[in-house]
Amino acid sequence: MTADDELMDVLRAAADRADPVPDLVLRQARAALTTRDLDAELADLTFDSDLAEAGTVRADGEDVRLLSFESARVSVELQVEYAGGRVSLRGLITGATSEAVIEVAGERHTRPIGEEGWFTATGLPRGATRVTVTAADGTTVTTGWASL
Amino acid sequence: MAYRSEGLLLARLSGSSGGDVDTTTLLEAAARGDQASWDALVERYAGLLWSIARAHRLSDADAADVVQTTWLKLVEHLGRIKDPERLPGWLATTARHECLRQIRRTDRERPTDDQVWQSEPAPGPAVDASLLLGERDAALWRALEKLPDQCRRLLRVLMATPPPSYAEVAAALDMRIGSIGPTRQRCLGRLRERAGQAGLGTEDRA
Repeated sequence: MTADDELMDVLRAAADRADPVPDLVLRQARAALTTRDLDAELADLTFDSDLAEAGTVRADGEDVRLLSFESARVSVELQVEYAGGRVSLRGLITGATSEAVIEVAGERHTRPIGEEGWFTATGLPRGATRVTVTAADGTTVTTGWASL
Repeated sequence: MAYRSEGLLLARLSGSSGGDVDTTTLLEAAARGDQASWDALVERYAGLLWSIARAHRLSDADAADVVQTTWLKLVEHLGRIKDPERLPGWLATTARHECLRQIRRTDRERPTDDQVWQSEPAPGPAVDASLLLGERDAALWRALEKLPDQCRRLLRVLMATPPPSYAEVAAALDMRIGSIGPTRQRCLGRLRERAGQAGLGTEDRA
């Protein structure tokens, strides 16, 4: 074993003690499998203004984040605003009516979808979030997870 | 601990020598809903994901968010992953993208939302992590913090348990695999210099 390998082992042992993976993080990771829904159609993320190239979409001081999700049946546009450590969502749904279910941090929030296809939700916690709707033909459609 | 699923056996078989075949088998079993196989995947890669988040200097809360989002995205893609052998690279790349997005969000909030910002803990571990270490390791830890970003980032990812492959590190930091070995050597050299300046040389360990 080289001196570098030995030093690396010392550093790894130090990280293990000083900055281990928190138990809560491990517990949440194990529980993540329960979010699997084999019947739902996935609406993939097609646009996220936070991932778009710097300067092309978001000018300085522009605080709304935009995300788009698309599936064969449904599209979901989200406008995300941050204030006071909480998240506000304004969503536009095409291809589904009735209500939108927002999942975040183990919570489920159900919101009515208005006639124009809009729904709103305020005061949400931050974290991995997804929206589930029911398409016109009864298929459940879920957006991919996005960290808001 | 009365696991009776196939996953327990798989987890045991793969515990010590994480080969590609084992990861593939675990992934397939997890895609069928086998919790123990999923737990084994979490066990194997949680350390890498946490180290990637810390390498990007994320706070406890932001690092937890990045790691959990990465796992949720994997659940979402279970059964859709075409090349399971590339799972570690996929996880590392996903975690890196989530880190960069998290950093952008923090930048977005900082100037506009003073109230939130003041009540949030500063980025990075809230307590001085070196307090948990002995004198020599604490000096190393502090020296690590003072290294140039590229070095600190690379070493922090390499410090993951279990030790990541260079392919995983390359995906985690968007580096060429061939540059990792030489960069590691140079950065460990710098770390020795800094730790040595602090009066706690590590050369004697060689």
